[in-house]
This record gives sequence, C-alpha cells and structure tokens, in this order.
Amino acid sequence: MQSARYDFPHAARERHAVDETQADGAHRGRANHWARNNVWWLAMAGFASGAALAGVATRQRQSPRLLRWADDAPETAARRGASARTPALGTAVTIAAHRSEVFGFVRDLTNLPRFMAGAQVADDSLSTRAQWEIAGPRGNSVSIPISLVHDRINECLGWESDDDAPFELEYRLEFSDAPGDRGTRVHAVVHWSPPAGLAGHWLAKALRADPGTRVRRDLKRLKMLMETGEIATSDIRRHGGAGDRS
Amino acid sequence: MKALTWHGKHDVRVETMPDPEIVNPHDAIIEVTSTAICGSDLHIYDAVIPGMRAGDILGHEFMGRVVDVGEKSSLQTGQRVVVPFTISCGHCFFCRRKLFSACDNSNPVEKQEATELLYGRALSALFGYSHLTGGYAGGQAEYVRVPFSDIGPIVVPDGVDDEQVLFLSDILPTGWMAAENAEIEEGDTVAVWGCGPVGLFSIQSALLMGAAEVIAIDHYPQRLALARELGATVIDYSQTSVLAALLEMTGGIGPDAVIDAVGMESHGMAPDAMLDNVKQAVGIGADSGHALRQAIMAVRKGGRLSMPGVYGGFLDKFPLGALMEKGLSVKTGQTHVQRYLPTLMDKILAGEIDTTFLISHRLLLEDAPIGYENFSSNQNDWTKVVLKPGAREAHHG
Repeated sequence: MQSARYDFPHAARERHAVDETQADGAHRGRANHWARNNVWWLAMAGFASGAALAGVATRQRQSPRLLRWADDAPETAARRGASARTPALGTAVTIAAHRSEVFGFVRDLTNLPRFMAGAQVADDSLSTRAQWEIAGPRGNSVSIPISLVHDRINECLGWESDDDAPFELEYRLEFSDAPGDRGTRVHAVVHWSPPAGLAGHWLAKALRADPGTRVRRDLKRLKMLMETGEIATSDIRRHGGAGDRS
Repeated sequence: MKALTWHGKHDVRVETMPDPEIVNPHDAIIEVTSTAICGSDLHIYDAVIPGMRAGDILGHEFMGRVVDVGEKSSLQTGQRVVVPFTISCGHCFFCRRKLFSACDNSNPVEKQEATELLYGRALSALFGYSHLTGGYAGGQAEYVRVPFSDIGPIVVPDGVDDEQVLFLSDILPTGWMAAENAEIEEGDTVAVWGCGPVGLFSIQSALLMGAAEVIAIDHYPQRLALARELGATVIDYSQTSVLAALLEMTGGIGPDAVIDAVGMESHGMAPDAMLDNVKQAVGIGADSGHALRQAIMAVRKGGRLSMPGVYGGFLDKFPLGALMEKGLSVKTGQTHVQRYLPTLMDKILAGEIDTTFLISHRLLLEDAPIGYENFSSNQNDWTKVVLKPGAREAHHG
C-alpha cells in the first residue's frame, strides 16, 4: 500500500504549532509586527518553499516507486509523460441499438468500408483479413494488412497488423450494454508503433491521419449508420458540391 | 439556382450556384418561397464567425414547397413546409429526449472536432452557418437540400400565408423556449433584456404563459413601441437606471424571472443560430455581457435566469457570487425547434400568436445584399427582413 504517501506527520505538527500561536492574542500581535517588518523575507521564504514543494512533487511523479495509483479509469486515459513510446488511444460511443445488432453489423466485415475510413475488404463476409489504407504526407499512403485476431460474439473484435506490415497496429472494439435504454457502448482501443516514433505520431496527428483521429471518426460514422441509416454530409450534390468544398 | 453567398466582411452576393439534389435517403429538396435574415446572420456579415468559407450559402430561417424527396423522407412532393434551423436526426440519445439542438448525428464527423476542442462536445448542425456547425448550404436561395426531412419540417395547412408561419423556423420557438426556460408561474413579473425578434417573442410567450407583468428593456424607440403593443411595460436604459427601476417596479422583491435576449458577440466564438441582432439593437457591442450581469443582479432571490441570447466564448467579471448566494436557477441553449412546432403552429392557427407584426421589409432574393446592409446599420427601422426567392418570376407568371 502507498498510504504513507499521504501521511505527513511533520507537517501536521507544524500546523498544530501555528494554531497554538494564533490562539494566543499577545503572541499574535507580536507575530504580526514581526511579519510587517520582515515581509520581504517572508515572501522569499514562501517562494523558496513553494519551489521546493514543486520539486518534490515532480520527483514523486517521476519516481518508479510511486507509480499511478490504480483508479478505475480506462488505461488509455492515463496521463503520459513525454517519454511514452507507444501512444495508445481510447474512444467510445453510445449507439441507440441492441448490442447483437451493432456487433453483427461490424462483424460482417464487408460493412467495414461503410464507416471505417480506408478499410478495404474482400467481398466475403467470412473473411477475416483486410487492408487499412492510411494517408501520409504529400499524398503518399501506406497500406496496412490486418487480420481479425479477437472475435468474441457480442463482446469484442480485435485486429492486428500482419508481420509484413510497415508498422504495428492493434485495433480493438469492445461492446457492452449501456445503462438504461441507451443501447450499446462501443469502446475502441488502438495501439500503434508509428514510423519515426513519437515524431511520426505527432506528424500523423497534425495531418489528421493518426489512428486515433481515424478511429474517433470511424465510431461516429458507425453510430450514424446504426441510428439513422446514413452518414451526415453537407454536400448538396451526390458527388460533392457547394456545401463542402474542403 | 440563385443563392445569397458570403465572401467576406460586409460582402454578400447573389450568385448562380449548382442546384442541390437528393444525397441521403432522408433528404428532401425544398423550393424556397420565403426566407428571413436573422440577427445571427449579421455575425457572419461582420465576419466574426469562425469556420466560414467564401461561397457559403447563408440563411437558416426558410420555408417552401417540397420538389423532391429521398426514399426515406416522410414528405411528399408539393407539400408546403417550414424548416427548423436546427438539423436533427430524430434517433440519437439527445433527439429521443427532445433535445433536438444537441443532436449527435447531423454534424459531419470531420467537422465535429473543432467544437469538441472549444466546448468539450461536438455541436449539432445548423443550416446556412459556420462549418463548425456542419457548413450546410442555407435557405437564402431558390432551393435547399434538407437532410432528415422526416424529423424537422412541419407541413403548413392550405390557406395559411407564408408570413404567418415563417418564423416557426427559428425566432418564434426561440422566444417561446426562452419563456418556458423562465418557468413562469401565475402572477410572476418577468424582465426581458433586448427587444429584437426573440425578445419580442419571449415577451409574447411569457404573457401567454401567465406572467402578470413583463418589463422590457431596450433603447430603440421603435422596438420598445413594439414591446409595449404586445403588453409589456418598457424601460429605456439610455434614460433610466435599470436596477433602480426594476427594484421599485417590483415592490422591492425583484423580477421572479429574467430573460437575457441580448447575448454576446464573443470575438468570433459564437456558433449560433438565433438572434444576435438583439444584442446589436441594444447597442452595447463588445460589452454585451453587461446585460447578463445586470439580469443576475436584478432578479429576485431564488429566481430564474433564462438565456436565449447567444454566447460563444468566455466572460469575465461574471457575478457568480450573486448567482450562488441568491440561489438562482439557469436554463439556456440553442432552441429545440422540433419540440415546439406542433404547439406553436396550433397557436398561430388559433390566432393566439401573431408573428407578422415585426416584419419591416420585404425584398426579392436579388436584393438581399441591400437587406443585409440596412438590417445591420439601421436597427431601429429595419426590425425584420423577409426575402422572396422567385417572386419576380411569380409576378410575371
């Protein structure tokens, strides 16, 4: 247990001592007088102790002995230092449809291109292999061969990049019942090892081509399809038009 | 088709644009017969709305005739409809709770990220506004593509003029929701800041909901005169201390509910759809947070604050202490237009609500730039502009 981390007996004693001083009117008067005469030194002392505390706090964050206390948040929501090497992203949507309906739609992999940008699949609903096309800088794109490796009915679907892929990618969708009459929660978790490491990750993010951005958009499109049967667009013509000239 | 397009600050033009067509199954195409310039269009005219692109078609208050329908539209060709300014799918978590202006599915996914960053959650889509709210082509045009036409548009019965029902598209339900959000009880005194179209409609609505007295605050004589005609007591803030007047006029208690129909143009952050012309009418410009602060100070202890006025960014010197210590409740938000359409249509048809009194000018679509210029620069006389696409042809036909 790390409860000792919150136990500062020395500080508590000091607080107690200050309270006693304040309870005594004569002492308080003297203390105020002293404070007025030494305001500059008090300010410096305050600044120094603040800086020291900040240093302690920083060391505590970096200390391997005081790793993150285990809360109940998803792992993908953890704060990460700049040294994190494998960016992981989580996102979730709630879809107003029954879990088996949502799962069944996604499990029919021929539906993937309807909501998953860049997904290419064989025209075969039993196939477990697909390609993920990811746009890169200057119009270049890379194709990631992926295979379905987790398939638990109404619970989980997971893809992993094949060994010959240019970089590693894991894409997992978890399905659960939302509370009340809200339908189904779909939680996506993505791990990837971007080319050029973190720099590649931030470049991809800037280009809105990182798997995180793509998965967020994928889930929103899935939600639109399941709830309304269509994907919203501001185009005024079927092949693009004045509504969206981006 | 002809359409009013935006090209930059104080630069709107009537141009020839491609005709819209059915793109998605729930779409309908509407031939516009009447459309209005909204105060919030002036934000765009003044180029303070982010996410605009040259060539965008403006307009979110419109009605017309159905000329084409997608396979899943519930409309039929030939029907006359009024179209809500909010685009709502009808099936998501929010629409099912009648929070139509919070729809999750109408704003295209690639356009949601900007407001996720600004507000924590993506906004839903609006017609004829910023690309932050979808970038949908608007109704100041001869034709409009209307997505989710099975959820939004309300069919207009035969024999009813356009102008009797046009404002169901935005400002009438916005004024109505403002009064509903004030949770008015019999005998209440309600104070309304701003006598633009939404302020005027919230005065009318508050009286219909049983308010014993409505006190309207503005400084344009013409707009205060309209408020008085509706039955309000008026305060001209340019010659009266509003806080002192409200205290004395309410027997020292303060108004039971206050409605801020002014809003704030927050340096380009306002995404909206309603009526910032009210803010400009009150003439407080960048200091328009003043009306909100004054409303919070004026309202009685345990009172209600309703905010139909548009805010987009951040406000300083906010009297949070007064809000908490007086125990106020606050309701606000973009209008859930679809929720109110049947009720308000019935009230119009029954003669309980008149909406035509505030129309000051009627123009051809081709003259829309003149309408923008005057609506922007002469707020006292130009209270509401209605545009008539195709009217010239109709006269000759």
